[in-house]
Amino acid sequence: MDDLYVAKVRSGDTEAYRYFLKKYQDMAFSLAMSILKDEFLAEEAVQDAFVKAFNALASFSERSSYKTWFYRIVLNESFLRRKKQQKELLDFHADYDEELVDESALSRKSQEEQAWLVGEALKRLPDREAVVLRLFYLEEESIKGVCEITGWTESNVKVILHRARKSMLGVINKLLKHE
Amino acid sequence: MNEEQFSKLMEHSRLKMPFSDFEERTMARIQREKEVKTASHRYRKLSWLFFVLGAVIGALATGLVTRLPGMEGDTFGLFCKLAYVLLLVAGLHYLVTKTDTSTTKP
Repeated sequence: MDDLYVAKVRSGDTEAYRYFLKKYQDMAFSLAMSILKDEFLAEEAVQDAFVKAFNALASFSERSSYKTWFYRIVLNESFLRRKKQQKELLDFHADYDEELVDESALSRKSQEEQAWLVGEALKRLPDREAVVLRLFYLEEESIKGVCEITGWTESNVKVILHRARKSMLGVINKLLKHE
Repeated sequence: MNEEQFSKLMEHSRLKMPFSDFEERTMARIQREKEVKTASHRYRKLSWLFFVLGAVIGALATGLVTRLPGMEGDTFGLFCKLAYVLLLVAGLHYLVTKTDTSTTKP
Protein backbone atom coordinates (compact mmCIF):
# COMPACT_ATOMS: atom_id res chain seq x y z
CA MET A 1 0.00 0.00 0.00
CA ASP A 2 2.87 2.36 0.87
CA ASP A 3 4.40 1.88 -2.58
CA LEU A 4 1.16 2.97 -4.22
CA TYR A 5 1.10 6.22 -2.24
CA VAL A 6 4.81 6.81 -2.84
CA ALA A 7 4.08 6.63 -6.56
CA LYS A 8 1.09 8.98 -6.18
CA VAL A 9 3.13 11.59 -4.31
CA ARG A 10 5.96 11.26 -6.81
CA SER A 11 3.52 11.92 -9.66
CA GLY A 12 2.65 15.26 -8.05
CA ASP A 13 -0.34 14.41 -5.83
CA THR A 14 0.76 16.22 -2.65
CA GLU A 15 -2.52 15.45 -0.85
CA ALA A 16 -1.70 11.73 -1.09
CA TYR A 17 1.06 12.36 1.46
CA ARG A 18 -1.66 12.67 4.09
CA TYR A 19 -1.83 8.86 4.05
CA PHE A 20 1.71 8.66 5.50
CA LEU A 21 0.92 11.31 8.10
CA LYS A 22 -2.13 9.39 9.30
CA LYS A 23 -0.35 6.06 9.31
CA TYR A 24 3.00 6.91 10.87
CA GLN A 25 2.53 9.99 13.05
CA ASP A 26 1.83 8.09 16.29
CA MET A 27 4.75 5.67 16.03
CA ALA A 28 7.05 8.46 14.82
CA PHE A 29 5.99 10.50 17.86
CA SER A 30 6.62 7.52 20.16
CA LEU A 31 10.12 7.11 18.73
CA ALA A 32 10.92 10.81 18.99
CA MET A 33 9.67 10.82 22.58
CA SER A 34 12.02 7.94 23.36
CA ILE A 35 14.92 10.21 22.51
CA LEU A 36 13.77 13.73 23.32
CA LYS A 37 11.49 13.02 26.33
CA ASP A 38 9.57 16.21 25.62
CA GLU A 39 6.26 16.41 23.73
CA PHE A 40 6.95 19.74 22.00
CA LEU A 41 10.46 18.83 20.88
CA ALA A 42 9.25 15.44 19.71
CA GLU A 43 6.44 17.05 17.71
CA GLU A 44 8.90 19.42 16.01
CA ALA A 45 11.26 16.56 15.19
CA VAL A 46 8.43 14.47 13.72
CA GLN A 47 7.18 17.38 11.62
CA ASP A 48 10.70 18.03 10.29
CA ALA A 49 11.06 14.34 9.52
CA PHE A 50 7.79 14.30 7.54
CA VAL A 51 8.82 17.39 5.55
CA LYS A 52 12.30 15.98 4.87
CA ALA A 53 10.83 12.65 3.80
CA PHE A 54 8.45 14.45 1.44
CA ASN A 55 11.27 16.47 -0.14
CA ALA A 56 13.49 13.40 -0.44
CA LEU A 57 10.80 11.08 -1.77
CA ALA A 58 12.18 11.43 -5.29
CA SER A 59 15.47 9.93 -4.12
CA PHE A 60 13.81 7.13 -2.11
CA SER A 61 15.32 4.02 -3.69
CA GLU A 62 12.75 1.45 -2.48
CA ARG A 63 15.60 -0.86 -1.48
CA SER A 64 14.06 -0.74 1.99
CA SER A 65 10.42 -0.23 2.89
CA TYR A 66 9.04 3.29 3.28
CA LYS A 67 8.51 2.56 6.99
CA THR A 68 12.17 1.65 7.60
CA TRP A 69 13.38 4.63 5.59
CA PHE A 70 11.03 7.06 7.34
CA TYR A 71 11.75 5.81 10.87
CA ARG A 72 15.45 6.26 10.14
CA ILE A 73 14.77 9.89 9.25
CA VAL A 74 12.77 10.33 12.48
CA LEU A 75 15.61 8.88 14.56
CA ASN A 76 18.26 11.01 12.82
CA GLU A 77 16.15 14.12 13.26
CA SER A 78 15.55 13.37 16.94
CA PHE A 79 19.20 12.61 17.72
CA LEU A 80 20.24 15.75 15.85
CA ARG A 81 17.74 17.87 17.79
CA ARG A 82 18.86 16.39 21.07
CA LYS A 83 22.46 17.17 20.21
CA LYS A 84 21.53 20.73 19.22
CA GLN A 85 19.55 21.37 22.36
CA GLN A 86 22.41 19.98 24.43
CA LYS A 87 19.82 19.33 27.02
CA GLU A 88 21.15 17.38 29.90
CA LEU A 89 18.87 14.44 30.11
CA LEU A 90 19.63 12.33 33.09
CA ASP A 91 20.15 8.76 32.11
CA PHE A 92 18.87 6.10 34.36
CA HIS A 93 21.62 4.24 36.15
CA ALA A 94 21.31 0.54 36.47
CA ASP A 95 20.90 0.16 40.22
CA TYR A 96 18.06 -2.23 39.73
CA ASP A 97 17.28 -5.81 40.34
CA GLU A 98 14.89 -7.45 37.95
CA GLU A 99 14.06 -10.20 40.41
CA LEU A 100 12.51 -7.70 42.77
CA VAL A 101 9.69 -6.75 40.40
CA ASP A 102 6.47 -7.27 42.26
CA GLU A 103 4.32 -8.77 39.53
CA SER A 104 1.25 -9.10 41.70
CA ALA A 105 1.43 -5.40 42.61
CA LEU A 106 1.73 -4.58 38.93
CA SER A 107 -1.19 -6.76 37.92
CA ARG A 108 -3.38 -5.15 40.59
CA LYS A 109 -2.96 -1.81 38.85
CA SER A 110 -5.59 -0.58 36.42
CA GLN A 111 -4.83 -0.31 32.71
CA GLU A 112 -4.40 3.46 33.05
CA GLU A 113 -2.01 3.08 35.97
CA GLN A 114 0.00 0.48 34.08
CA ALA A 115 0.13 2.79 31.05
CA TRP A 116 1.38 5.62 33.26
CA LEU A 117 4.05 3.37 34.83
CA VAL A 118 5.28 2.19 31.43
CA GLY A 119 5.30 5.73 30.04
CA GLU A 120 7.15 7.07 33.05
CA ALA A 121 9.67 4.22 32.95
CA LEU A 122 10.38 4.83 29.26
CA LYS A 123 10.97 8.52 29.96
CA ARG A 124 13.65 7.57 32.48
CA LEU A 125 15.34 5.03 30.23
CA PRO A 126 18.35 6.03 28.07
CA ASP A 127 17.23 7.03 24.57
CA ARG A 128 18.69 4.02 22.76
CA GLU A 129 17.05 1.55 25.12
CA ALA A 130 13.66 3.22 24.81
CA VAL A 131 13.96 3.28 20.99
CA VAL A 132 14.85 -0.40 20.75
CA LEU A 133 12.06 -1.42 23.14
CA ARG A 134 9.43 0.50 21.19
CA LEU A 135 10.61 -0.78 17.81
CA PHE A 136 10.87 -4.38 18.99
CA TYR A 137 7.67 -4.64 20.99
CA LEU A 138 5.36 -2.07 19.41
CA GLU A 139 6.32 -2.32 15.76
CA GLU A 140 7.13 -6.00 16.22
CA GLU A 141 10.31 -5.50 14.27
CA SER A 142 12.84 -8.32 14.16
CA ILE A 143 16.38 -7.70 15.41
CA LYS A 144 17.38 -7.32 11.75
CA GLY A 145 14.58 -4.80 11.22
CA VAL A 146 15.71 -2.78 14.25
CA CYS A 147 19.27 -2.81 12.86
CA GLU A 148 18.06 -1.51 9.48
CA ILE A 149 16.15 1.35 11.08
CA THR A 150 18.74 2.38 13.64
CA GLY A 151 21.90 1.57 11.69
CA TRP A 152 23.35 -0.20 14.74
CA THR A 153 24.98 -3.62 14.57
CA GLU A 154 23.06 -6.79 15.40
CA SER A 155 25.12 -7.58 18.47
CA ASN A 156 24.72 -4.01 19.68
CA VAL A 157 20.94 -4.15 19.28
CA LYS A 158 20.79 -7.48 21.13
CA VAL A 159 22.80 -6.08 24.03
CA ILE A 160 20.72 -2.88 24.16
CA LEU A 161 17.48 -4.88 24.05
CA HIS A 162 18.57 -7.17 26.86
CA ARG A 163 19.73 -4.23 28.96
CA ALA A 164 16.60 -2.24 28.12
CA ARG A 165 14.30 -5.01 29.27
CA LYS A 166 16.11 -5.22 32.61
CA SER A 167 16.23 -1.42 33.00
CA MET A 168 12.54 -1.15 32.23
CA LEU A 169 11.58 -3.67 34.90
CA GLY A 170 14.00 -2.03 37.29
CA VAL A 171 12.44 1.39 36.84
CA ILE A 172 8.90 0.00 37.12
CA ASN A 173 9.94 -1.72 40.32
CA LYS A 174 11.35 1.53 41.67
CA LEU A 175 8.20 3.42 40.75
CA LEU A 176 6.04 0.78 42.42
CA LYS A 177 8.11 1.01 45.58
CA HIS A 178 7.95 4.78 45.75
CA GLU A 179 4.20 4.98 45.41
CA MET B 1 8.31 -11.68 34.21
CA ASN B 2 8.20 -13.71 31.02
CA GLU B 3 8.48 -12.44 27.45
CA GLU B 4 4.73 -12.58 26.80
CA GLN B 5 3.86 -10.58 29.93
CA PHE B 6 6.54 -8.03 29.13
CA SER B 7 5.28 -7.72 25.57
CA LYS B 8 1.75 -7.15 26.89
CA LEU B 9 3.05 -4.52 29.29
CA MET B 10 4.89 -2.75 26.49
CA GLU B 11 1.62 -2.35 24.60
CA HIS B 12 0.94 0.50 27.02
CA SER B 13 3.92 2.41 25.67
CA ARG B 14 2.20 3.30 22.40
CA LEU B 15 1.80 7.06 22.35
CA LYS B 16 -0.71 9.09 20.37
CA MET B 17 0.24 12.36 18.75
CA PRO B 18 -1.14 14.82 21.34
CA PHE B 19 -1.56 17.72 18.88
CA SER B 20 -4.80 17.33 16.97
CA ASP B 21 -3.84 19.88 14.31
CA PHE B 22 -0.49 18.23 13.58
CA GLU B 23 -1.63 16.76 10.27
CA GLU B 24 -3.05 20.05 8.98
CA ARG B 25 -0.02 22.08 10.05
CA THR B 26 2.39 19.61 8.47
CA MET B 27 0.45 19.49 5.19
CA ALA B 28 0.31 23.31 5.12
CA ARG B 29 4.09 23.49 5.65
CA ILE B 30 4.69 20.94 2.89
CA GLN B 31 2.47 22.91 0.48
CA ARG B 32 4.23 26.17 1.38
CA GLU B 33 7.70 24.69 0.88
CA LYS B 34 6.61 23.15 -2.42
CA GLU B 35 5.41 26.54 -3.68
CA VAL B 36 8.69 28.20 -2.65
CA LYS B 37 10.65 25.44 -4.37
CA THR B 38 8.65 25.81 -7.59
CA ALA B 39 9.06 29.60 -7.57
CA SER B 40 12.81 29.42 -6.90
CA HIS B 41 13.17 26.91 -9.74
CA ARG B 42 11.42 29.34 -12.10
CA TYR B 43 13.61 32.26 -10.97
CA ARG B 44 16.72 30.13 -11.38
CA LYS B 45 15.83 29.43 -14.99
CA LEU B 46 15.15 33.13 -15.59
CA SER B 47 18.50 34.04 -14.02
CA TRP B 48 20.33 31.81 -16.49
CA LEU B 49 18.37 33.24 -19.41
CA PHE B 50 19.19 36.82 -18.45
CA PHE B 51 22.80 35.89 -17.80
CA VAL B 52 23.19 34.50 -21.33
CA LEU B 53 21.43 37.57 -22.76
CA GLY B 54 23.69 39.86 -20.74
CA ALA B 55 26.79 37.98 -21.88
CA VAL B 56 25.83 38.32 -25.54
CA ILE B 57 24.93 42.01 -25.23
CA GLY B 58 28.10 42.63 -23.19
CA ALA B 59 30.26 40.97 -25.86
CA LEU B 60 28.64 43.08 -28.59
CA ALA B 61 28.96 46.26 -26.54
CA THR B 62 32.63 45.56 -25.77
CA GLY B 63 33.32 45.09 -29.48
CA LEU B 64 31.39 48.18 -30.50
CA VAL B 65 32.67 50.59 -27.86
CA THR B 66 36.27 50.30 -29.09
CA ARG B 67 35.17 51.24 -32.60
CA LEU B 68 33.47 54.47 -31.56
CA PRO B 69 35.28 57.66 -32.66
CA GLY B 70 37.65 58.90 -29.95
CA MET B 71 37.58 55.51 -28.12
CA GLU B 72 40.24 53.75 -30.16
CA GLY B 73 43.41 52.49 -28.53
CA ASP B 74 44.76 49.19 -27.28
CA THR B 75 44.72 50.15 -23.60
CA PHE B 76 41.05 51.17 -23.59
CA GLY B 77 40.04 48.04 -25.58
CA LEU B 78 41.98 45.83 -23.18
CA PHE B 79 40.38 47.53 -20.17
CA CYS B 80 36.87 46.95 -21.62
CA LYS B 81 37.56 43.30 -22.36
CA LEU B 82 39.05 42.75 -18.90
CA ALA B 83 36.02 44.35 -17.23
CA TYR B 84 33.71 42.20 -19.36
CA VAL B 85 35.52 38.97 -18.49
CA LEU B 86 35.59 39.84 -14.78
CA LEU B 87 31.86 40.58 -14.74
CA LEU B 88 31.18 37.39 -16.69
CA VAL B 89 33.18 35.24 -14.27
CA ALA B 90 31.62 36.92 -11.21
CA GLY B 91 28.10 36.42 -12.63
CA LEU B 92 28.82 32.81 -13.53
CA HIS B 93 30.25 32.07 -10.08
CA TYR B 94 27.22 33.62 -8.39
CA LEU B 95 24.78 31.64 -10.52
CA VAL B 96 26.59 28.33 -10.10
CA THR B 97 26.82 28.66 -6.32
CA LYS B 98 23.17 29.78 -6.05
CA THR B 99 21.98 26.92 -8.24
CA ASP B 100 24.01 24.48 -6.21
CA THR B 101 22.66 25.63 -2.80
CA SER B 102 19.09 25.93 -4.02
CA THR B 103 19.08 22.33 -5.24
CA THR B 104 20.48 20.95 -2.01
CA LYS B 105 18.56 23.20 0.36
CA PRO B 106 15.08 23.74 -0.99
